[in-house]
Amino acid sequence: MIKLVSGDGAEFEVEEEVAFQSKIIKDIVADADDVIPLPTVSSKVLIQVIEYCRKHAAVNSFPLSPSSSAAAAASSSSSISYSKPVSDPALRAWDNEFVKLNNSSLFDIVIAANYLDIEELVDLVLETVADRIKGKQAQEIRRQFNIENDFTPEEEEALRRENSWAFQNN
Amino acid sequence: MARPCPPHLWHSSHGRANWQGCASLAEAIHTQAMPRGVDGDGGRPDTLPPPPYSDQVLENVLENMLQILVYRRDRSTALLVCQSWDLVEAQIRHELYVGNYYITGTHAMAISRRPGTSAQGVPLFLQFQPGSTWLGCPLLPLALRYGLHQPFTVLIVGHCDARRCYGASGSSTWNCNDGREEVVTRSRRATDIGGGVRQRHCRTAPQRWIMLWNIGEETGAVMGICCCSQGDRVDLGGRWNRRWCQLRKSGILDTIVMTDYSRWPRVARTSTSSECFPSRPPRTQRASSPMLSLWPSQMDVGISNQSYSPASE
Repeated sequence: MIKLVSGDGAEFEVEEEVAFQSKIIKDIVADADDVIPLPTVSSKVLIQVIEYCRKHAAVNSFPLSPSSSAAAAASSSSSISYSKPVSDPALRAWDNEFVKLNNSSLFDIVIAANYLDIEELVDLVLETVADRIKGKQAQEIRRQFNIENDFTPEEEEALRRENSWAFQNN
Repeated sequence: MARPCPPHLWHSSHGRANWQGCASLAEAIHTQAMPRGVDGDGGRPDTLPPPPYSDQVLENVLENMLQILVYRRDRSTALLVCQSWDLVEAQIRHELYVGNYYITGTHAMAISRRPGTSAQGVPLFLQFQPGSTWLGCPLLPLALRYGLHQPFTVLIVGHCDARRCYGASGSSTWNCNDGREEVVTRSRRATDIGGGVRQRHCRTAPQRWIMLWNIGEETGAVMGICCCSQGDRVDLGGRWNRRWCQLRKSGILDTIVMTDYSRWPRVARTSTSSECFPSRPPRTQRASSPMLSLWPSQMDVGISNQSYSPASE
């Protein structure tokens, strides 16, 4: 077991395979003790990250579920199949539910995941955020992410004019 | 152009503004969140590396997110959000656009310019294939002749076979003979353009090569010359005063990538959407072009057979 200590002092004991979803923890454990302080990760965020890691560790540690293994068997002659996170429909669905969070929470998670070097979680969150941006107007994005428009009207107009070509038919 | 401290990417649930590029805040967070176990003994690592709230980390996160946006419309919308998004988007842009170029070859080219430069004048962009001619006239001497008088020159050579490429800067030529070896002979004349051209990077590989020049510290202009095979990826890694070039894998062949052109020389003429991917400028703009005014009118025919349409005039 590895003990993770959040920035606000909460301690979480997790299995190695869960903690090792983070490459940086995996590296650090190899050289140090099993207590890992994570000063920039709050307990609230750490709970979510652990939840994600636990789920993915479980899926990666066991053969495919019956439904997905059948699909995998159809495309592979291998007798033992292990799922990749993105290739398991059940896990993908779980991921989709996992990221149904507000933008603030997603930001905290992606920063933590980036810090802990959990690449799949970073990608998952960033894809989610990108999906929320696609097709939106700049003003909508600002409102959605609570971002202040720090352009002067002249700067914004110049940018719009310079990039007007992008809004033509591609 | 100096920018103010960039704003947040977006606000966190903690009510803490997550700023990007603000050194003071990053330092404050770093100090506050110094991990335990840092004993300074220089021994084995007993804790994780310093906290990630540096501007670089936040910038990378935003950069990775913006890279997921593949459509020009989305990317162009993102840069309108705030200055930090604009800054990051500019660094990862792989399609560039300029409205006032004078010669292009047979490949669509998109080059973008950015405001806020102190340089004056009109940039010149050339793209041609080795040995290509216009109405029987070799392009290269023409490029040499007229490029010499421009404030800076970008030459994009398309479809080199990695054995021999031709390019020009100023009045001299450089040759690319072998992708594996030192392939570039810097133009002697090029050093006279814009107050000193310096070769910054020259990385070579089979089927591809890239040169990156800085044309004068006072202008900050960057000239890139690129040539690659389709789908190739060449990174000129690292940063150099935020002026670096990357050639990313994209659907556009031989697209020159200038990821920071905030000091790109401003040109007086504003482009229109019709100039997005033309292979030559509309005739109506030729009068204002010091270079195009030198072209004989019969060159309107046969220069390109791609996107330029006389019917559009």
